[in-house]
Amino acid sequence: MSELRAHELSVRLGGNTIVENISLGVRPGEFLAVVGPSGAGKSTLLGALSGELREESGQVKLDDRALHRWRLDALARRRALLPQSPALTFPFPVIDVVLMGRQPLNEGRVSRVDEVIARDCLRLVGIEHLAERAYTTLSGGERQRVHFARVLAQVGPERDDARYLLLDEPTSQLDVAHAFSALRVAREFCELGVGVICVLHDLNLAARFADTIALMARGQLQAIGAPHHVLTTDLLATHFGVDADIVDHPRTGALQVVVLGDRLSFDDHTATEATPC
Amino acid sequence: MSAAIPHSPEVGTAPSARASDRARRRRAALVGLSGVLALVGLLSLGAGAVAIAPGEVWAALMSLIFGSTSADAMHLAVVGSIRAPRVLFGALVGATLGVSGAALQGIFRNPLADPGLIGVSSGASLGVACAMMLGGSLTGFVAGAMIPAAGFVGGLIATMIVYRLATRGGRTDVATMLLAGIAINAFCGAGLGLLIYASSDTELRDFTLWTLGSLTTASWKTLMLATPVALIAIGLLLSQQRQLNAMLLGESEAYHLGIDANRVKKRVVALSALAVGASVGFSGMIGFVGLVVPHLLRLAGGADHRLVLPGSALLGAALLVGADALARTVAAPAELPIGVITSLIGAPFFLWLLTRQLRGVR
Repeated sequence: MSELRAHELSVRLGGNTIVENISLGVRPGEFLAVVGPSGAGKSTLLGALSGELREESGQVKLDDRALHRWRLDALARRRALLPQSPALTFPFPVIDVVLMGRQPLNEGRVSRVDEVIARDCLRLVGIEHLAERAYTTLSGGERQRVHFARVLAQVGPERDDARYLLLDEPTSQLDVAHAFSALRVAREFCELGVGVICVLHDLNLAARFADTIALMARGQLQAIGAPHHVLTTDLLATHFGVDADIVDHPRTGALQVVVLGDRLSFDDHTATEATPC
Repeated sequence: MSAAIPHSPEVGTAPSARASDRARRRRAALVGLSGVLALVGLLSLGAGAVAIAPGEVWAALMSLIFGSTSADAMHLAVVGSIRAPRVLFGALVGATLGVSGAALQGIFRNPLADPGLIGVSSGASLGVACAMMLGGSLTGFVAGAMIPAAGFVGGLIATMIVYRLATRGGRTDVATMLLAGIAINAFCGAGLGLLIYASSDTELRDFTLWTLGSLTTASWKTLMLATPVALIAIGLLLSQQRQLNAMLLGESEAYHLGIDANRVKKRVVALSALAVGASVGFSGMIGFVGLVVPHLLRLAGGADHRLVLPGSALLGAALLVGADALARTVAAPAELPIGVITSLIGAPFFLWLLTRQLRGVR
């Protein structure tokens, strides 16, 4: 069975070890959220899982074959990555940006099916009305959704082979409604047999949509498992430095993280507890 | 965002396949530009110290190609042995400058990139200067071939140095590359200064004229030398449309779309050095074509390289052929250097584009 998996993966960038000895993986139909404080190495992990960053030691395998032994074009048909801050500064029509996601599948010859799928993907992220607009005239949140549509088109809702969607903070520029729907769409692709790995800052969204949560800090994997296993008061205190209550939401059934205080108030709080007067 | 994900798209319900419409529009634009090039070419064949009416030009062309004898003998001689190779050569130089400018702007994701920026042009001119100063005693074919060869070698060496400096661990940093280009340009400028300082008056005049750019060296012989190299380089650059489009998204994004960005960069830089080095060697420095032409196309038709690359080749060719006609007529019977014309028109035009863009008009 298909699998995208890191084995004891370490990545060095500019002389520093950014990712250290991490093993994790997803299969088609699984949703893995990667959470952790800023600078934990989450994006670097995603870069290594996509094959863009080479490992220092350990390896990343897709279907039991090391990523660097895949041809780039074959790899592009099996996984897509949504970057955190795309660099496009030229005025392409939005629909053409989304159609670029189809390049690995159609080798540059855009078919009617490609166009229909590109428009479907724009509809899924709620911006089908912007299809003919120039990309450069869009807001940050709209641009992020254009690229989300592009990677959805690359993964292909119409396909049924094993493929993977890597999302680097897909909701960083989205309002609460669009953030929710972006993750809902990712989850729906997951149900269609796409393996999803998603770096997230919003712990509640992670708890709501992911099967598995990986908690990274200082380049290392600190915990991995079901949301209730990873989102605990202890782990959040240790790695995020927050005092948090974890509750089951009465209507969604998902875990809800309620932050009560940050590191400073938390320290005060423990200090007063230690020395009652 | 409430719609369910479609499993198998119904092709019949396509909201009109607009991708094919855009492809049709691109083709129409390219056909139109080819028409403009043909028209400018015809007019340019008639322009110059001896003015020839378009009908006569047509008759001379027909007799050149089909061997009919209806044309005036003097017109035939002027068109056949002087102007036809010159127009063809102008088109070739314009096409190489346009297409390399467009491709370099693509890999640098910077609409201000130009063959001049990464050292191609200054390296080529240093090469040519060396050839002129050191090989002054050579004559005939050897001398004719040596100058462009020196231009190409100089351009390639300068570009290779810039490229090496900017590449660490298989990755090329665009900002470093542009900065290294500035340094190499300064170095080549200093080399040129030394050579000029040491040169005789005739060498100095030859070289100064060359730096101003001119198509006067054009002949069937120069065409034979330059055409194969330039056409191959242009053809290979044109084949990079899809890769260059993806690279506009960013290098990682191109990687994730299955495109080896570093390989594309290497290819484009080498091909531009080849095309520009060879043509600059024959024609001298001709500024602003590589910069302005792709810009104009983007302004009119968007950033898609499926339009910008072939369009820049055609428009660059048309512009240079037109500028050459102007160079031959404004001061007739004398001739202005074409590089002066392109910079004279190109620089203010480019400033106008720039201020327009700064004001946010698109």
